[in-house]
Amino acid sequence: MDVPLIIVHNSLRFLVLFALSLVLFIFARRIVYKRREAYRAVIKRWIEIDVLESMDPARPDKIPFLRGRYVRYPGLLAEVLLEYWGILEGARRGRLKDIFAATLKERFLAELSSRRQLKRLKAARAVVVFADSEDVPRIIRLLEDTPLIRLATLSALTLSPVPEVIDAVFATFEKDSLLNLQAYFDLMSSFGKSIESRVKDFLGRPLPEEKIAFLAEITGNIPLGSLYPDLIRLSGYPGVEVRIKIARALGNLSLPLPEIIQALVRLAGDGAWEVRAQALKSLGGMKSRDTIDVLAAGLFSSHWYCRLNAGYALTQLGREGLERLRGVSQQTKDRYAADMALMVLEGIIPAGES
Amino acid sequence: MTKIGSFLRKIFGRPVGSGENRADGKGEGLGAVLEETEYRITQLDNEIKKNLWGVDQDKHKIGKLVDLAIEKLEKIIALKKKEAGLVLSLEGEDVSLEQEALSSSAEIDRLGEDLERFRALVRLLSPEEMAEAAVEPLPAPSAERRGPSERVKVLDKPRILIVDDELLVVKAVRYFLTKQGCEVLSSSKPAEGLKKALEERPDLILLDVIMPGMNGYEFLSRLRADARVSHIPVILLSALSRESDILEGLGKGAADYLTKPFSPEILYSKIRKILAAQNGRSPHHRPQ
Repeated sequence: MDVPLIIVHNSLRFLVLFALSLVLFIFARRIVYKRREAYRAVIKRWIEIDVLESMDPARPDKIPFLRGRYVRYPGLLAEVLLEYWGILEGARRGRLKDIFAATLKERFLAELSSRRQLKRLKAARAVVVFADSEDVPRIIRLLEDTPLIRLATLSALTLSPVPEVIDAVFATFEKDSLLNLQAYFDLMSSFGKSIESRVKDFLGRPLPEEKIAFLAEITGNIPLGSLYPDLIRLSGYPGVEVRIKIARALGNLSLPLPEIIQALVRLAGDGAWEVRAQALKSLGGMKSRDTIDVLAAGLFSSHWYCRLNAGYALTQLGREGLERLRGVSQQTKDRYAADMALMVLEGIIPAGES
Repeated sequence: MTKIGSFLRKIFGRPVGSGENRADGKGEGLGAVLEETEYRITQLDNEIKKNLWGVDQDKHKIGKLVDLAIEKLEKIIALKKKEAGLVLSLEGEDVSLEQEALSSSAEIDRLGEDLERFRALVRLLSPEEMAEAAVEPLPAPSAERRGPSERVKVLDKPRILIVDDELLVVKAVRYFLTKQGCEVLSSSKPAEGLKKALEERPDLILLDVIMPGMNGYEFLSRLRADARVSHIPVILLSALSRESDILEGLGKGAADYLTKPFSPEILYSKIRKILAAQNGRSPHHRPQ
């Protein structure tokens, strides 16, 4: 056989063998993983049972026992503790904290200093959820860590809000990129009215448009009623996104005050249709008969969403609103306004009754 | 008692089944079956213990051994089910411990969603636990299904059915309520839960709202539509915590609404209150 032919022959053999061994490796790996998962599932169920028993105050002996038995499975033990934290409340959460402190805390605190981000990530979540007041400085340091660790810390704080870190959370929020905004939203919402003064302070700061819009959204979402003057002040903000959020937040506050209604009426005449649409929707929630003309005018808007929101807003004003809707549906000057009024009326009143 | 029996006494805390009632030590029926099956478990158990408690750390080998032990226990359950004077019985998706069997050393658990498939999870005991198991009181035999004339006993050992697709919630509720003296039935599928409610007629149902297949409200409507079970009070246990969700649940006929995460103590106190109101007794009455 020629030398080139031998080379080709051997190359083919090598390729076939390589492909076969690759397939075998994939299968073997799959089997190993499957078995490992099954094994972990069994261990996890043991841990679940033992943790349940350890939550019984009459069994103080169980906690040292847990530490001894599952020293080789810190990840699984932490997973179970976090899962129980998610479904249980009250004194049992205190017991879970005790279990964590006695079994895993020391190890996880050491892992917080690890150079491996994944290790820090796992440890951060558990340390923050089961944190005591003495852990506040650690949480603050975690908030200054990489964006990924910061995100894990924020979401863990949502599960277990620590009031002492509110200032640190706002300071981080000011510096942080826009990527973690949803995590801040969940966390700040979980703090509730306790963040009122901070939100007020930050609404007055020169923040990027997205963050101002975010704070307006939070104000309406919690809701922080006493901040309505700040929202009204910002209703002339140059950025459209902010004005949309202001219009929505003013509606969510559910405070039919004359100042708020006036601000919403102003926003209903805004240059951007998104702002107008939101303001009309919020005006409906005010249920003020003084706004009936503004809402009826909204039905003649050139934008479909504005007409839709104006139509449904009128239905919230009772008989008077419905009559105005009927009037618009019967006029012939603006076919689109008439169609929208008719659609809204048919949607809320069963056929035959209108 | 045989050598094997004495080993099992250490493992399970008490003599298992009716094997020791036999006069000749061999016998037929349940006793013979038990000894034979237990012998195989005992052999395995020594090996598993050796592996788990530090001699050999090969996880895969342990996994294999645990699987084998599980298989053996499954056989025991299947065999005992056929015999009179059951030691273990299968109830729908649960394997419940009846009489003096397996006590705290063996934990029976269900794997996966397949309701027809059961597995026994063998928990191995450390030497301290073994000593403890030998003196730990065993669970009392479960109560017979109650007839209408026995309703007054409801507060003493209420039968609670929990229907929730979140297995961890089922486990936690089962544990805490059992500790309080309740008899807990469970189902992770609403259709199965409905069937169980009709068959078992529990005193109260704990019901999740968001479940695959049928949501809690639909479950509730079907329950209320059936005269045989329409009287059973239902507590909704849901992660939906908005005012509108709670009002909707109560509007559909739930006796109470509890949001997740929940406090087991509050849950139990609500159960007692509802059952006491239904039976015309004070909720402060404690079972003897």
